[in-house]
Order: sequence, then C-alpha cells, then structure tokens
Amino acid sequence: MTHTVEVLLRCIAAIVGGYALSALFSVALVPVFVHGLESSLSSSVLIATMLSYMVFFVVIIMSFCRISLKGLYLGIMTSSILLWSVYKALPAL
Amino acid sequence: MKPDFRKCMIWLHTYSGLVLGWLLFAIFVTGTLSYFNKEISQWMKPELLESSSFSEQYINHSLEELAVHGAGAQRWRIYLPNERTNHGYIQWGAGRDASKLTLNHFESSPIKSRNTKGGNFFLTFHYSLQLREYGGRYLTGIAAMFMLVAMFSGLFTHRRFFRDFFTLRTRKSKQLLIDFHALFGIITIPFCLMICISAIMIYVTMYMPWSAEHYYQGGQKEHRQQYTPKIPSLSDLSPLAEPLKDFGKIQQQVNLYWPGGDQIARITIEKPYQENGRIIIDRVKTLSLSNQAQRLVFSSVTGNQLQGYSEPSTAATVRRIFYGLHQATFAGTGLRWLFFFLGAVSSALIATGLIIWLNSRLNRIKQRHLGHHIVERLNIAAMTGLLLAILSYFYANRILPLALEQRANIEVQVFFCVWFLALCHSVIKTPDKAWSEQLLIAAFCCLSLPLVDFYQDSQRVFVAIQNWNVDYLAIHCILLINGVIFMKLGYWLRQKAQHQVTVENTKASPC
Repeated sequence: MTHTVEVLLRCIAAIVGGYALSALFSVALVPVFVHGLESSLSSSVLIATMLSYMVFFVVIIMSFCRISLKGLYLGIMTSSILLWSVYKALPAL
Repeated sequence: MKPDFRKCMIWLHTYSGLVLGWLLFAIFVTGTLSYFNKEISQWMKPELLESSSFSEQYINHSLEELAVHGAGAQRWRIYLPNERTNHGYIQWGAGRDASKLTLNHFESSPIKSRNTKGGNFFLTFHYSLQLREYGGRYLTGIAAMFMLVAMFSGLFTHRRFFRDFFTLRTRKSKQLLIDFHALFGIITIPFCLMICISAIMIYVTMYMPWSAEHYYQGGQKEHRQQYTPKIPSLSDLSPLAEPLKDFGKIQQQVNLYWPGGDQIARITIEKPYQENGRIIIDRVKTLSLSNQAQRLVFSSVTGNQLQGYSEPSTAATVRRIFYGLHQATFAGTGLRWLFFFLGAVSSALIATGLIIWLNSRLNRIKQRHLGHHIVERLNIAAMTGLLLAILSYFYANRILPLALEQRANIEVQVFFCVWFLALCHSVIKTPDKAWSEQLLIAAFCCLSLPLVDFYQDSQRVFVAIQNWNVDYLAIHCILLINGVIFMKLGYWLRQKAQHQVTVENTKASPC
C-alpha cells in the first residue's frame, strides 16, 4: 500500500470514523446518565454531547499513531458495537 | 505510519497545522482584537468621546427618552455605561427591527455617532467568517479542532521540554525562528487549550446535534428550551397601564440583593404599557466565570419584585462557564491585557509555524513544486495582508464621508477589498519584495493613523487626555509601537534579501 493511500485511509478513519463514533457515544451515554446518575434528560444530553468531543479527539490522535490500519478500523468497529449494545441493553427513554 | 510515536506526532503536527493555518491565524488575530471589542468600538465612534461621570438620574432620563421614542414597542432596553464604555444606549423593539439611540451620560440627551460596526465586526468575523448563512461557524469549529490536534501533537515534538524552552539560538535567523516557535508554543499551551475547547463548547449542540435530535421531537431547539433558565411568558390580554417613571424604588431593592453599587449592566422592560409588564435587571458579569448574568425581575407598573428565573442545571452552567471563559466577560483590565497578550503570542505561534514549514522545505529541495508556491504566497497574504486589511478598516472608518449611505457595510467591503489586493500583490511580486513592501506599508499606515486622527479633529486627543480616556490613548500607543516593529522587520527583510542577491552575484561572477 502506498503512503498516500494509507494517509487517506487514516484521515477517513480520523474524521468520518471519529465523528460517527462520537455521535454514537453522545446518544448511547444518555440512558447511562439518566438511569445511573438520575440526572434529567436535558442535562444528560448536554453532558453526553460535550463529552463526545473527547472521544472524537482521542480517535483522531489514535488514527495517526503507530497502530496498524487494520487494528485502527477494528478498534473503531468494536467500540461502536460496544456503545450500541450499551444503548440497547438499557431501557429506552 | 512512522516508526515511533514521536515521529507520528511530528508528522501530524506538521500537516494539521498547515491545512488550516492561515484560517487559524485570521481567527486568532481578529479574536484577540475582540478582547477589546468595546474599546475599539468606542475609538471608532469618536463623537462619543466627550462624556462626564455617570449621573444618578441616568436611568430615569433613559425611561423618559424611551417613553418618547418607543411608545408602541413591545420591549425596551437600557444598556448602562461601565468602565469599558463611556456611553450607554437605549433600544426599543426586538430582534432585527430594534432601534438604538446612544445617550450622553450626564443629561442623557441623545448623541449622534457615525454609522459603523466598530469592533463588533472583528468579533463576528472571528467565529462566522462573514459566512454565517453558509456554515462559517462550522468552519471555525473545524479550525478549533485542528488547532487542538496541532497543539497536542506539538507537545511531542519536544524531546527536552525545559531545555527547548530556555534555548534561543540567535546566530541564525532560521534557528531563531524555530526556537521562538517552541517558546511561544510552551507559553500558550493553557491559553490555546482553553480557547479551543471553549470555542467548541459554545456551539457544541450545533456541531454534534445527534443526541438532541434523537431524544427530542423538536431537536436542538426543544433541547435548548429545556436547559435554559425559564421565566413565565407574558400574555397580551392584560389591561393597559402606565409604566413607572421613578426607578428609585427598584434601585433600593436591587441594592439589597447586590451590594456595592454599579451592579446593573442592562435593564429590559417587557410589555411596558401593560399591567403585567415586567422589568428584568441583569447584573454585571465581572463577578463569575459564567457569562450568564444574574437576574432580578420586577413589575414594570408597581416596582414590586416578581418570581425570577428558574435555576439553571449544572450542565447548562458548565457550558455557560466555557462561554464566559472564551469571552473573558469576567476579566478586569489587567487580566484582559494578559489575555490580549496571550492571543497575540498565539497568533505569532501560528505565523512562525507556517513560515518554518516553508523554510525547512525550501532548504532541502532543489526543484519547487506548486504547493510550495501556494504556501509561500498565502503566507504573505494571510499575515501582512490581514494586517493591511485591519488597518484599512480603521482608515475607512476615519476617512469615509459621514453622510454616506450603507457606511458600515462599505467599511467592511474596504477590509475585504484590501485583503484581496494584498493577495494579488503577493502573487505578482517576488516573495522577499512582497513581504518587505507589505510590512513597510503596514508600518506607514500604523504610524500615520494617529496623525490622520489628529489632523481631522485635534480636539479628540486633548479631550481624551483631559478625561484620562486610557482606551483611546492606548490604541494610539499600540498603533505607534506596532508601526515601529513592522518598520524594523520590513527593513531587516529588505536588507537580508539584498544581501542574498549580492552573495549570489559574487558566487556567479568568478566563472
């Protein structure tokens, strides 16, 4: 794989993957806050949205680390599945 | 990727900094100017310079003026003068249709000032880039994210953090530039971190709306209504009544809640001619980090206290604190100067970074490609070009005829025209010449602007000295100091370029 293609794939992972994962995080964490911390829905949504930037930031940095491309995409996939199952496991709001 | 983590981060630092570097520079420079938004606005309206101390009757006079001008309006507002602005103003009507009148302190008589956007232009430009309807705020959000990434990865370029901090290799200009870049970077770590994170947090639900869209039928809008503090809405069916004329009764109650005097920043009167009308009083924001003012609510007819706003949730307060940190609403004069200084250093950090990117590449390669040329020209247009554009905006404010229609918009157009001209100039000329010429023009503009001001109306400076108007005088001082710095830099660059030419000539001649 050439350098350009690899950089392009890592950029996609960082920007698209990172944004998608943090969006999922901002949705999936709300039931955790509402049931776990008994905070109101509006606060939970706001907190989850604000915190999701940390996830975005971490994914961007990870994407340009030594981690292999395969590992990177696998990591994003498994974290998405994990967040999805958390969201599904808790009672819907 | 690269063999180790540090190399990866250096690569990331290089390119995340480069991609939006020019945009970031423009945002940081205009954002830094926005710390003195009110002071710049005042400087750009010299008609408001003459003022005297704040009179106790000010609010009552304002109420009288509002009764004359804003008879049919649904909402009146009184903005009180403070240390940062030597004038207050009244506003009637709501939203875009609101009319505004500036009042003289003492008699509260109306003063006419020139039509200008003042420092507010820089403020709105630095987050919306004049592209509010076209997603300008998304662009600045992306820029903030890039800056965060560039900053974090920049930390790892230092192998020896402290030794780098105390190193300045003054012999060679290129190494000096790199050392300065490291020095500026280390100084501004906390500042940039705060600015970038708070910038994202201000529009956080706009950038990441998915959670709000998922849990609320009405999306972001409904979510915002849920978490902002609420007050009962006013019905239109109330009988008519005259609003109160003497503010003294409310002032006494306000003094009990907020001791210390001069605590009121703004007075809003809703439905002034109805029996259920109310007066909302905003406290000055210098007392807390949050930019949400404390508020008290009174009846506009009897002056009795009414039920106030509901308490905001912790999450909403956290967001408000980020907002307040970004705007530095809490900062006194000294702290404001510190923020201004750090903002200027951050701008210099971005500028040196962009120049280093180009220099380190031009040294290594024999054949330039298109990218190098583009970066070279954009560097000039984005840095000195922006300086020229800002200065031309100030000049337009002083020189354009006062009676001109759409005057405020023409000032802004001058800003963008000059910026575009600077870009053209940088493309036509050789880079060395373009740098030094633009810097020297900027120096000339800086040095002569106070003279133009003095020539137009010499009274302004005398009045400013008489009233000890520090803001007005400080702007002139800063212009002069910057003028000298730009002149030195410009001449130095010109000398260097000439020196290089002679060296190359002597190398070529022996053959």
